[in-house]
Amino acid sequence: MIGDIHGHLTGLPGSTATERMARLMAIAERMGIERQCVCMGLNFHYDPNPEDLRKQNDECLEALAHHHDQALGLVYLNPKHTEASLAELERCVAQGPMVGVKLWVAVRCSSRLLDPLVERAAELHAPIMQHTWYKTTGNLPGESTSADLAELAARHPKAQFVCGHSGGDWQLGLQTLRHSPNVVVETGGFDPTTGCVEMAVRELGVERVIFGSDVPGRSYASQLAKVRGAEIEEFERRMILRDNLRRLLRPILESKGMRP
Amino acid sequence: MITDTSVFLGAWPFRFLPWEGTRAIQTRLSRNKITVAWVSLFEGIFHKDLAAVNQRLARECAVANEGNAGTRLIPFGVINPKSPDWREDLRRCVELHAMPGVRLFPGAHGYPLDDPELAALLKAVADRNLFAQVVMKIEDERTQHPLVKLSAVELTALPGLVAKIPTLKLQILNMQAGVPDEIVLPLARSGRVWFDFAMVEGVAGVARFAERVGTGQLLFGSYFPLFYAESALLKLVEADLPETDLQAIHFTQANGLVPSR
Repeated sequence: MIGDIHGHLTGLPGSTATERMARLMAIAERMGIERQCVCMGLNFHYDPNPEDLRKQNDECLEALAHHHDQALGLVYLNPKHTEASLAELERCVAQGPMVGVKLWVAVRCSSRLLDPLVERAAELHAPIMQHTWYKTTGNLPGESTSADLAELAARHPKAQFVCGHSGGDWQLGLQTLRHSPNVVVETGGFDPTTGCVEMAVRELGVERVIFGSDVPGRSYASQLAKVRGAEIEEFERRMILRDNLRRLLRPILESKGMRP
Repeated sequence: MITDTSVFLGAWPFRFLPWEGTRAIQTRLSRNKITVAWVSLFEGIFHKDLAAVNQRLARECAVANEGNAGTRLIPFGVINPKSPDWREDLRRCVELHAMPGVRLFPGAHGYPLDDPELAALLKAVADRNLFAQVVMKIEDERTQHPLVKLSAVELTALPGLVAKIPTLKLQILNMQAGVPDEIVLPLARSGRVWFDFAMVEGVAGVARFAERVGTGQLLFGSYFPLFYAESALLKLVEADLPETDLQAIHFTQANGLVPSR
């Protein structure tokens, strides 16, 4: 059994969220993915307004509807819109089926704007997945690095964070998170460059590494290869592909009466 | 049985790779059931004395192939048409080292595909019945070292170049699936241009790319050891192609182009 914390609906064939999710889950099954997390809607929005946020999350909820606990959702929030984001957190996580938070590129995550969202997510035991990249070509204005995330995580030691893309340029990203015990790194969304998982295990410990693919922009194949091909022990592979995600989500899944 | 058309030996300058030395690379290839690998040295991207690079490559392969113990390494010399005496470098690849093909790096070596020297080189390659590999991209632009900022090679001139050299056989390595049909389709339909899929991405991305170019124009290429070879292997699982297509991509087509012995 493999759990994937990072998937999207954008870029899949199909005109509805239901159609796209069915397509994704068929390929996921072929590749051995038993549990797929998804976030955001049919189209990407860098800086969604409150109306966009609601629409994105409605589409994600529709995608989850037919897949029971094999598909899990992360609510998409924009820290620029505090009240709307808190309302979405209540609607989709506290009162709804979603199990975590997704933050993308609207605001750098070291901003204090995130604090009320993080505090409420922590109360709900909802992990927060933050997109991060170190780009040689330059980041977007609101695009976080993993150093931004380390700063946020230090302010909120009771919250649980997932560093999306391991910082993108993982040789840099992983270094910034050595002293952030409440941050796990997600392995998806960059080329299957050798040594990435080995470095993550070496620098952070295997319990802080979880599998993510960033499908459908990436293939399951290239992202699974980072773990399948890494020079690590078999038990470490199982932890990254399955056990660590299960442990990360156990508190919120149990609170919802879902299987961990 | 798999022939991997995109493998490197030597030292990558920007990080330590998990496998050190030719023997470790060869062992790892064997573990993935890759029986033949077309290899070049990373140093061919960065060094100016390519004759020395290719000589080193030939020696590494000869030593590794002794006893037929593991994956057979087939040396592909690196040629730069902007080098002052590339013809001699090419001659040595063929006459001294018996190499069946050459690998070119237009991006790293700094020439466009409409450069007349490239046309002369590809004509010479075809005349010597060699197989050419053109590397379209070396690394994601976002993660390159700040001192080495290279864009993907612009392929617009390639269909015309291939048409002008009727005996040329060529593979594009690290093919980008975003290249438009007006460039990709004439290349594929020529029947003399093949593609790897190490950098073809997206869910079922290889299946979609195969629909565009035809499975007959795909060759297995992993870009190991910069990429995990498992990526290319698993992409074919994800593509869910018929067994006959898989065999053709895994080895039949490559072995028809470059015999392994």
